[in-house]
Amino acid sequence: MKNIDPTIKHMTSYIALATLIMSALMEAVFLIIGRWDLHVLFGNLLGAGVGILNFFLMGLGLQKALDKDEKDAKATVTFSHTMRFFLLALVLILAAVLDWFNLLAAVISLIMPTAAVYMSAMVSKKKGIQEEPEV
Amino acid sequence: MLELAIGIILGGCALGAGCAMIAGIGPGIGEGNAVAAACEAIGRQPESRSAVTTTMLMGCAIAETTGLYALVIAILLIFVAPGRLVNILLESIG
Repeated sequence: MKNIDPTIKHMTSYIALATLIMSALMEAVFLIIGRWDLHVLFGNLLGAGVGILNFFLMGLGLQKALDKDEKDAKATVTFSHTMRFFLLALVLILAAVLDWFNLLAAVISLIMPTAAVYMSAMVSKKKGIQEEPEV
Repeated sequence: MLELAIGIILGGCALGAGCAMIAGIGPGIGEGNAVAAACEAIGRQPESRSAVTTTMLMGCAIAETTGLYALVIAILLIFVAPGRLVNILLESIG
């Protein structure tokens, strides 16, 4: 844990927090429409957990790649991407095949970290636009 | 005739899943190029490592979205769609 870049730690914690909030919102929506059961919760836990893990592993892969030369960096990132893709495929197959997990909840939860990144990008862009006149 | 219809449904779903997964190739190549460019940038300006890492991390996460969507569609086409389509077919036959 000592060798992890602080930027990656910070971003992962931000993504985890945003995913947690969005998960709570999703659970509330399922409750309101009357389709909540334990399968939704399990699907949410599986999807959100793997989504955050995927982001963290991507950060680790990128950190490892940045210490290498260009050619090796490309190979490292492509390998990391392939492995994470298999992990996501495995999780989606589990959610589709096993009755314990609600597939819709798992898929939505898996996309939440990406939504959090989009939100973060929009917020930082907005901040940049607001700060620009002062500079 | 029913077997043929079911076969067409299964074949179409498998073909669709395979076509969807073509989108999974792009993010890997794109991420590789982004990281190669980031390595070059950090090599030129080592003090900008933190800023480059943050931007690259966000860029890679966004680039991966298309692959994730493709994966979701492929999994749905393989594991969910065939059963439902066959059920619809059987119900329409009666």
